[in-house]
Amino acid sequence: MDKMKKIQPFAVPLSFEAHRLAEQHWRQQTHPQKARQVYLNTLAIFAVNEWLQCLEFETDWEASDSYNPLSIRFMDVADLVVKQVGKLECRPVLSDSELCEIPLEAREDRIGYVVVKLDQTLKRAEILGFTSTSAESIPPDQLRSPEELISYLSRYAKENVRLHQWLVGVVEHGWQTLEKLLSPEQLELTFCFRRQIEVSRGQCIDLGMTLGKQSVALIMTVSSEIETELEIGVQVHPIGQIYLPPGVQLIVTDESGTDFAVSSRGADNFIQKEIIAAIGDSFSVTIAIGEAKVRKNFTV
Amino acid sequence: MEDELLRQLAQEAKRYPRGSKERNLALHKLINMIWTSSRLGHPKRGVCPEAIYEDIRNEAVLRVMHEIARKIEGYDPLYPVMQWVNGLLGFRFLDVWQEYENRGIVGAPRKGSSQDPVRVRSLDELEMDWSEAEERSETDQLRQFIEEDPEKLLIRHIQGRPEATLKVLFLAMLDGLSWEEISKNFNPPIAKNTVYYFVDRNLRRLQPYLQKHLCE
Repeated sequence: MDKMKKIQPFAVPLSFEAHRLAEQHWRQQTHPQKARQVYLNTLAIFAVNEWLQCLEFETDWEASDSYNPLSIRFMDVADLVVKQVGKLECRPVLSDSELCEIPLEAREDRIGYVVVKLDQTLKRAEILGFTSTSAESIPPDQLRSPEELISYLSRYAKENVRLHQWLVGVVEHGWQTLEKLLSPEQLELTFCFRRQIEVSRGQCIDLGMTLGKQSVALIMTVSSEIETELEIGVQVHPIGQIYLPPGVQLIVTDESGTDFAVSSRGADNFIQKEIIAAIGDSFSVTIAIGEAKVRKNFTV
Repeated sequence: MEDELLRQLAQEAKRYPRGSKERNLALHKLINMIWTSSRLGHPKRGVCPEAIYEDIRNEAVLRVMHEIARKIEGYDPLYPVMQWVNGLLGFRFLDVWQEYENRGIVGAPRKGSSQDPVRVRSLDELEMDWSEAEERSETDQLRQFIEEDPEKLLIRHIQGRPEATLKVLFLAMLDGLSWEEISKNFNPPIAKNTVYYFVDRNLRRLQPYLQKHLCE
């Protein structure tokens, strides 16, 4: 039954620098279990950070919540900001077979969860693998390899859609015209700003889950009245059905990290959010059902 | 043959542009193979105390890993990869040793003063060091500040649940209670998610206020 080929972990030595950082955060704790967790979390983040930096991904550990002394007094978070991509949560485990648990506060706003094994001497870390779907715990056999994480991050880093260029006919590969995604009835329901120049494109989003695949269409409609601004309509339509299943969430996150969310309730043909943004701003759109999430980044 | 495989990986990495997926994948395999190779050298034995040799070497290996990635274009396929790597390792080893020796940072484990040199702790030592540190009984300034709440900002509570104030919740979190435990501390229990979102939102908002615990 075990069809998994053995994943080759990536090993990172942990020495003075790693432990110096771990100790720095550890010393500020007052609760023994939290202190221990903070020490191990820091070692796990250190390993991932070193690995990513060898591979020329730009990280910003100091901008992460895990580096903020106040945040880690309260929350068990081990996030690492990967520039232009997002946050990776780096969780330590002490054996290959251990179930990696992800605390509630670490399940939001992450593009992936990396599991790092630490040995008893704490001199060696092994990056075992990752998952892109948030969950309460990650069984070891559901981990994807570190190589896959490299591909995943590379894809994310490149995938920044520039919406203002849509208005001059430059649309990124993978964004289709609406007729390819929606039924004629659904086409009637898409955004219409009633302006001369308005462009709509969509993408099929697969929310692969354990219960079965859900596909929805993310439709972006872009228009402009003032030169310095874009009006953007974001919609989520079901594919192959009339109604969206209940509990589909559309979350638009602006540059400051503020979320605007809308959810489907069961008899919705679509859900939507309209935003107005200045050219040059960036935002992201997350579509989620339960714990399964997909995120897309946009530059206005 | 390991040599041949390493050479191929190095050449593969050289072939692709910096930051490309293909290069990253090749570097990843190459570095992993080098670091776990039995032929990775043990340079300069005898230069530093044996007790910290492994740690100095580990620090040096880490630096060499970065160096290989940075300088892969400079790798000459005429020479075996391990020869190149071990050469680098010898130099980095001395660099690390000198740095840490100068900073007075390495040494045999010592009992707890706050001027402790950096120690590479094992899990067991972590437990031990913590219990020794506890005897120092520093007052928890953050905790005191929350209890005092000078500007009375922490009286804010979860909607409909006046007993679930930020003060109560923050203190519970500092005490290491799980979300489950916090949730059940209330009668009737408050959903974990409700507690979490409330705390998270307010924690972000009140960062500047809570930072004031650092000022006397």
